[in-house]
Amino acid sequence: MRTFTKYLSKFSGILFLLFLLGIWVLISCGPEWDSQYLFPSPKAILKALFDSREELLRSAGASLLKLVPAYLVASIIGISIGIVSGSVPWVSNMLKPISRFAAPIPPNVYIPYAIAILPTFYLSSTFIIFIAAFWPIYLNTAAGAAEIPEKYKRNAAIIGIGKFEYLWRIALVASLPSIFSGLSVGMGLSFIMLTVAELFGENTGLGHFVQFYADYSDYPNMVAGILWTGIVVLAIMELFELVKRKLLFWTKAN
Amino acid sequence: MTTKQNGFETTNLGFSYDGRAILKDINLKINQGEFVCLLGESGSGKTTLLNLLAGLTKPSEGHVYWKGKEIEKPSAERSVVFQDYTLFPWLTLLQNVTLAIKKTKKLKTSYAKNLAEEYLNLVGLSGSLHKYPFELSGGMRQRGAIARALSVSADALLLDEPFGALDPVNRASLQDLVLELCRGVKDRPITTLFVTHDIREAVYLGSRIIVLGSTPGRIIADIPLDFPVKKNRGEWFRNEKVQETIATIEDAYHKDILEKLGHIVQGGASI
Repeated sequence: MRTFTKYLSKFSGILFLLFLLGIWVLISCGPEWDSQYLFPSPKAILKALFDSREELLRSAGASLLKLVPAYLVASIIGISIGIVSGSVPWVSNMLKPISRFAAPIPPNVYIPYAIAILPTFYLSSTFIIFIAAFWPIYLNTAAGAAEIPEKYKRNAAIIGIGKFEYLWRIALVASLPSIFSGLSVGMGLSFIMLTVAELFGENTGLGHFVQFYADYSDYPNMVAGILWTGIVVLAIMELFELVKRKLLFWTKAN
Repeated sequence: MTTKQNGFETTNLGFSYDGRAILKDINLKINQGEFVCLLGESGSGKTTLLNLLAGLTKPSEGHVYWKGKEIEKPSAERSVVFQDYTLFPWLTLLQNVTLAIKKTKKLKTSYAKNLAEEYLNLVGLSGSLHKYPFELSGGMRQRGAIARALSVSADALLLDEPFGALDPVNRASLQDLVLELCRGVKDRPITTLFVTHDIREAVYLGSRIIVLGSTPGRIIADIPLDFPVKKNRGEWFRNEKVQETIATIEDAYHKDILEKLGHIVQGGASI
């Protein structure tokens, strides 16, 4: 009995998923009703996933082509400025008013303007993703660098680490925990902005795939697009966690 | 008779923070090669004084000198070991010490690494060179911190309650290590300031004891020590002279505390 409850608790996640899947099967395979076609069966969706595999892969590729460059640029700029502003008081004072004002602006309100001033949809989507990722990365990095324990600073000073070297050798490494929480929030937001931008005006990418089939009431393909988006995001997040664990191994005891 | 050269010197040294005087009128001379234990209760400004001597803090009043020159910034000449383990947690022991040597001596990495290994051997850590601080016990981390402090060829070692967080066994063995490293070297005397609030530790280690009274921190006793060689810890502590010294320091302590509490104590009061 004890081992049974132990296993139940261990596999409860999978069991609950199966339970939801069961409900889904019941709804989609039950007696005919009006909006039946809104709930395609798991089988129909698996078929859609398989039949549209090329298009789904292409969509994922197109989305990543927007996401990765924008996110990388946002990370490099956000982390660099964040480290300097967290370590040098006058830089922090200089940037505080603008970041206080601009950071809370939801990035999607920039979309119309970005489309108006930038020559291509691609550039406006990457710009929006950049904005979405930049602020959390910058703010978290700056906060982390500003809160570096005094002991690391004193230590660096005693062994003769200069001001410039301090920034990358100590501040950058010591702030890694905050940097990673910023990167993770930024990643989530940039996914949201990516798909929002694609629903709006793009003609490629995962958001576009979902919007396109919704417009044609092809719900098996639409749901397949949603599931596929989930899988892609999950894969990227897992990769992210892997890198994070590798780089933050030293925080175990602290 | 060795010539006594000036190590640290402070003149009318004072430090205040937020308008509160932490240290006041500290006039102190520490010769090179002396092992000074700085005693005082919490809040007496022991750590502040150490930071001032290290150059980590700037005085509000007065001056601090090292070898006749005013101290302006931290230097590897005056190495510090803090109570909270200050090895960089993202570097192994060997990398920590190598970095310190490389930065202070401008050596090539391979040389610095060899030297770092020697210093880590010296403190008994040859088996843990590639371990990270989080994999080590408190005592081992503190050994690493001492190795790093010594590895930069410091002339002065400033230790801020370095063994405060250790268990008695580790504590005793690290005390002996520090004694051996700082007082054992004849050709290169290391000037040591050891901050502690443990009277027995101070008496065991020091060649001189300075007691700070609190609010504001000021020197209330300055006692030179000259005890026989320490061979057996237990026996040594039973020595009459040692016990007398401990009693004297305790008196100075109590007197200061009672005065602060508003009691008027006159000439060896009975408690």
